[in-house]
Amino acid sequence: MTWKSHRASWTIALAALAASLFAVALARAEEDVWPTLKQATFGDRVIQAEDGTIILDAPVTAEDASLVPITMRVPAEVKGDLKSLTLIIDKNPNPVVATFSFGPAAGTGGERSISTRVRIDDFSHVRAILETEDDKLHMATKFVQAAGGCAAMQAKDPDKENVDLGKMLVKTFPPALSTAPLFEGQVMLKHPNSNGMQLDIGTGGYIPARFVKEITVKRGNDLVFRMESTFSISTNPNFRFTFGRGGDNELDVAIVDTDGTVFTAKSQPSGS
Amino acid sequence: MHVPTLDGSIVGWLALIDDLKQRNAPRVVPGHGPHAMELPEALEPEQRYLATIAADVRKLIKEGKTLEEATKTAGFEERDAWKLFDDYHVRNVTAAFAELEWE
Repeated sequence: MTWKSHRASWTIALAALAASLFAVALARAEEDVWPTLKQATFGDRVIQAEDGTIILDAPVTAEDASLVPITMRVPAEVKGDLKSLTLIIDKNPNPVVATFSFGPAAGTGGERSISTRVRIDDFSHVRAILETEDDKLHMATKFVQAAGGCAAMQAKDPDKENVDLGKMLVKTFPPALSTAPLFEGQVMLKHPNSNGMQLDIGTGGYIPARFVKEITVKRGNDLVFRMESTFSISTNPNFRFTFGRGGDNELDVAIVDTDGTVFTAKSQPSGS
Repeated sequence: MHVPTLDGSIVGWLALIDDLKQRNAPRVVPGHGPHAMELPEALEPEQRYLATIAADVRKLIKEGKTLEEATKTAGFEERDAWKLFDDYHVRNVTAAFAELEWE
């Protein structure tokens, strides 16, 4: 087989795959996928819905479906350590967007939160499922009107999208009240976070998938959280989160993408 | 007038508008709207709109505010100046924020 026909058969295979994915997407738009999704992700465990333990902030309508701000908040009245937090977008091609596992430096004693930005492919329920230290699961759900966030051209400026790949910023924000127990941190990485569904406008082919799959945030030697993610996190992944006050409050962050590239950074001096 | 929709870079657009204003063209033929307009006047509303968003968003980023907070406040003083403001403005602020937070 010549190189060209190899290429042609790949193109056909990709087109067939795209067509079948599209058919699946059409079928899924009609059905409630949550019961199956819940079983696959959490098995028979009981999930308390909307009990106030976890609050999800998401826009009713996504103005830019490839960059939808999502905030998950645990109100100050909820005490104790948190085990994990899972973000799910029912109708995305890979619905489990991210799972955060919390460590000893995640902190307690105030409202805890994590914000990020996601791609949403269709009108969909978005869910945050929190696991508290008593092993119970709590869920908050919002319905977001969005379309096409996964295949949207990822870069606002395609000529520059890979220029700064790997550039990373880690910031910390001290609390307004100097004795408050929770700091805020932010992690930003320049990375296209390509999901394999976006067209390369130069070649007409699909841009190969390459996305962040793991983030580890530490304060000193103590884990704040470890996150595993799939391809629904927006281009230039961005996370803002609370963490517990420590002796010094510098953060160490390591990010691994699906190519196995590791990006690391430390926080700049606090408040800068 | 239809509110600008921010494709590309807000910094790039503002630089381009500056550049266009320096040119000695007596008229401009826009892709939409009247067949000919005066320069540099035709550029000024867009320049004001984008500069307002950029200034507001930069201030909010400096204050440690989030994207969500920016989409609720930045540039809203421009609301009465444009048609379809509610349809595009939040998207414009979102794009500007995601760009300017890297400065």
